[in-house]
Amino acid sequence: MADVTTAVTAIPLVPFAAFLVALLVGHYKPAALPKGGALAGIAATAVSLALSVWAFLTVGAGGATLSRVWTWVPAANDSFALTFGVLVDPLSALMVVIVSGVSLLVHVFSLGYMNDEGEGGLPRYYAGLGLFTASMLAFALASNLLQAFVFFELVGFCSWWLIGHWFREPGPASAAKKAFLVTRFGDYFLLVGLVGVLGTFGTAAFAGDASFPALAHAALEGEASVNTFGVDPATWFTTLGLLILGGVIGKSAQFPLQTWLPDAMEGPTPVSALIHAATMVAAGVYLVARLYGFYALTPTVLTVIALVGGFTALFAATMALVKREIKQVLAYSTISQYGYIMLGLGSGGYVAGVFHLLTHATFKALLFLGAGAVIIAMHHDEDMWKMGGLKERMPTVYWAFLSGSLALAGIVPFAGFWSKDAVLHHALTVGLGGQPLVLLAYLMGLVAVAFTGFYTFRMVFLTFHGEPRSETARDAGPASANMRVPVAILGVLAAVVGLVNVDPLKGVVGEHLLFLERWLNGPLPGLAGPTAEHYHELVVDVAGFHTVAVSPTVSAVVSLVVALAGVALAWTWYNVPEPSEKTDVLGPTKTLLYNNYYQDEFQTWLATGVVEPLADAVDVFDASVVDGVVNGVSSTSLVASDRLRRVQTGVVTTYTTQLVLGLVVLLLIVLLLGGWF
Amino acid sequence: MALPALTPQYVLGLAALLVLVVDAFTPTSRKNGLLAGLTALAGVTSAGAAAWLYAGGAGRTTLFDGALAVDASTSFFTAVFGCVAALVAVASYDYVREEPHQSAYYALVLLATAGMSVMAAANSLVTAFLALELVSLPAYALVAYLKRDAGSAEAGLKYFVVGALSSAILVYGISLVYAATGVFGFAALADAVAGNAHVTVLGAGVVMLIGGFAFKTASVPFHFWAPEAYEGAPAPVSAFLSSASKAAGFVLAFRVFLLAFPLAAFEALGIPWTLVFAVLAVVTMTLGNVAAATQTNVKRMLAYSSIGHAGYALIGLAALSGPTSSDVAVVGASFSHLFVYGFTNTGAFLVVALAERWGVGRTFEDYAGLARSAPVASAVLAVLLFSLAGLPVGGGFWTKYALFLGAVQSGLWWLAAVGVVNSALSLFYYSRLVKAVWVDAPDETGVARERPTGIYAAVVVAAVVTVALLVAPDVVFSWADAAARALVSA
Repeated sequence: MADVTTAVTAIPLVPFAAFLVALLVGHYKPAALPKGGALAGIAATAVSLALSVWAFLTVGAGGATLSRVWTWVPAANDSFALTFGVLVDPLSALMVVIVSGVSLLVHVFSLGYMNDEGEGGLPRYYAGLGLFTASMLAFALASNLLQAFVFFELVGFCSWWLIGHWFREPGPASAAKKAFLVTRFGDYFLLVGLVGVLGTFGTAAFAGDASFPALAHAALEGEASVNTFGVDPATWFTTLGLLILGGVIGKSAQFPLQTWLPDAMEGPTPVSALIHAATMVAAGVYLVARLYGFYALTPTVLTVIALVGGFTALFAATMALVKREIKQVLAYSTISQYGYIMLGLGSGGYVAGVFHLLTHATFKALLFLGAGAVIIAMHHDEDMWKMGGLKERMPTVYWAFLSGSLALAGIVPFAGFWSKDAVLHHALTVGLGGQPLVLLAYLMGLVAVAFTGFYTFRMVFLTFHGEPRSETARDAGPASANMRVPVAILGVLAAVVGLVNVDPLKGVVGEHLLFLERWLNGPLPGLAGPTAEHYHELVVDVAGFHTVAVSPTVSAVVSLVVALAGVALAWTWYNVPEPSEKTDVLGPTKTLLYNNYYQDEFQTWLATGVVEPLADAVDVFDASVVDGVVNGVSSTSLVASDRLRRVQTGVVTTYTTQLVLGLVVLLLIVLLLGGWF
Repeated sequence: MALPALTPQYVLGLAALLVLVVDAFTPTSRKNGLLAGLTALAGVTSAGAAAWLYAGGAGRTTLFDGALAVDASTSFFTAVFGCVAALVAVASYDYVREEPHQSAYYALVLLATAGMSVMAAANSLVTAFLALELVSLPAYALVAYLKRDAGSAEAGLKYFVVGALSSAILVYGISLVYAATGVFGFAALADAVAGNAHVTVLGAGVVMLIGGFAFKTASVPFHFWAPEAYEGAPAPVSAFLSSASKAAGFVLAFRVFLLAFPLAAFEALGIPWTLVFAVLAVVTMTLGNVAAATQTNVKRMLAYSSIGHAGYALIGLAALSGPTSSDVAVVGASFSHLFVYGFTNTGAFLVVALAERWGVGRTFEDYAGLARSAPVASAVLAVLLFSLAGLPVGGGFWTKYALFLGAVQSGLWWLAAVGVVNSALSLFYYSRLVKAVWVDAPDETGVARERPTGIYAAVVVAAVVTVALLVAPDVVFSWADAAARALVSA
């Protein structure tokens, strides 16, 4: 299937070419670059989208492919090779469609958000978008963990680039650095985990009989032996899984490494849409899904994933309750929603997790682009208390935004309802099946549903309903077409995309209409392992996650009622002409929430109060002991070096003498060692 | 198409003669370009022919009653020599433009390259010595090429005196080996040394041979000529000598010791020559790097660093332990190190040639702020120097890694440790130059520099190849492995 490989390899390469065009032409001949590189980016992502859809259809026709594109370091000396390749299976095919689709819409939207507003540095901006898209696509198609790590890092780099687009202002510059450093902290664990995987299995491949998940399974079954460095295999695999999870928690902004994400709102809003819906943040959970064959072997790690997910979902939702700025609400909702995806994956619900990843990509891209349109109309004032009444002034955006909000809040039949319910239902069945910690995570997720409904509609009512609360809001006009069209497309999608897996209606419509489940179960000729069915078997047989039958309809009704309760409260408080800050009833708790539980302060204290004294102590040791040794070596070297210069006198007769003496010494050494004297 | 096995050697030798013929019939004004082009073409053609021969996979061909033998290691090193000669010729186009006797210069470069490629095919001590002299004699003349320049003439004379002494030692060593065995051919020697009765004579002969090769590879204690010759010689000639000529010394040493003096037989006789190479490796890399650390003259620093690199390559002879697979690995690592080094070190010396042409001066201080007026050359210099230090910006990272790994695997962890310490030290003095070029402020600002096409092209090619070997090392490494296998399991 060489043609498939070539075409799929082109999926990330085309946006990469757009990146080069924007960067080089933008630098040397900016006048020759139409729209600052936007058109090249739009064309490239459109080609990528077309190729991705084609790859998607090819996989649907049974054409899953695993191929090696490039051998970086060949295997030699009984060691392993480091390679780059493409893995096209249902998961990656779905992901590249999401990424290239969202990226295309973000590019179009940027025409309105960046070009029409006369922002500077456009070639730099579009070059960043191109590289970002290319890295994420290459990450999604990666055939092994090393390649995934390389592009994971590139994704992190690109978000630094784009969040800091307005780098001359202190806020964006600092936010970019924070995003880079916090995610890098998690990535250290991933890097150690990657080295551990290579050292243990001699391969980092994701799929196939010789992949490391397959080897790990065989090792647990006692059918293969791997180098676990003397540790019990199950314990060792758990350690590796947790290390890799470090990178996931950083990128997907899960507790306790979520603090970078709200700050990242300093970047241009289309970038936020891209980061939150399809690239940076999605990369973390995508890695879990990609490695599911490995995680499914380790019940402890699965439980950790579920707990972190459930806790983050609740924790972030509480902070979203009291935010004033529209993008801040969305930022915390992203953290919270990725918590749900983690909860789904951690409780063994691979399909549910991927489903929520899909729907969230749709409605979160929509909400950010909608918020972007509002922010433009408000001349970059993001405070919701100064908005109001925008419903009549920008109707398209309003209706689309409403669709996305209903999806986010999980109201039937919008996208988020189906996927969030699938996650919660799965967590419930596993929790009742003898996993109390998963049940705890479920309860946290359920409470968060009410909060989600509340903060989502608080945002909708404050922004669009009631009377305008400022001059700017009164004068706001409709968004331009290049912003309206992407928002409208996503608005429709957010309403319908959930229908691909209507789990609660299984009994009514029949199993054949659960498209996503069938898709992920799909037959994979020639690729042992990565199907949802296989994962489910692993979760049950190896991890021992058993389920109790609970009707999906009951669970769906419960979460819908909880969500509606939250929406109803928001309705009564904020859907009035002159809303006031009702969350003041929380008293000091509100201040706590508004300041994000003082986590930034806590982390700063960790840095200055704990790490810095420790570093000082280490520095003392370093300066006195280590440097002493090093300085000793170097001063010895330098003195010796000086002596050596004197040996090199420049007098050729000295050289010949020394040369002959050297030869004699060599002769003596050999003759003595040879025992001839 | 089946080429004659010695095609690259023929190309180089005939091209040298052709240069002299062309010289007689070309008007002076166009001569330099034509001759440089011809020389570069001959270098590239011989490298291409070598690659073609390797791709043909003919195995080992012996010629002239076993006096020469062509195998994968011959083609591998011939390719190195051809490439370096081409780079040097292209760079020399700008360097010798104003000098008289250009045809002699290019002809000598080609003759020396031809000699090196014969060294890579030597299969008897007689042809080995003849080929070595074919390299040395043109090299003396090349070092003294700027004969009105006192430094160049002095360097040539010193090089000649030390070289003559080394040749004498080598010839004496050959005669001792012949006295003990009665044969010259490598294959016959391998049979004759096993259980030889004249151990003392043979041992002394072998040590003297090592001395002769140490001269060519600029290893301690036969290194004294190197800093003087490299400093005084025209910079392209320094590049040529420190890269190609050194590699030629190594390929000959590898051929002699792997083909003619089997380790097992010598250990039985009580002459563990790997130990001699281990001692030489440690002393050479330490002395080279330590001496480089306090140099103030850039060219001299590079000269000592090239002595240090000879020490790394010697690991390939020191870390032989017996099992074919590990021996192939460490010899292959040494070969690929010499390949990468051929480009990297040539490039670094050519940047110095560029600076000499600009009249920048010779010391680190003179190079301060060069990046402001010549960013491309300075970037190239940084890449090349960091690759020499073994940082992962160029192929030098892989080869150093493979060498040290090979040393550890054959039990010589202390050798690897010395190598690592030396690498760290080398990073210090390479960084000093990079800092001078990129960080320090220049004395005068706004200097406009001419861009001599030839030297620029050569340094950029050298840097590109160096970086390409980091990204796609497999092409060269598999060839180096085949070359090592041809010698180890011959």
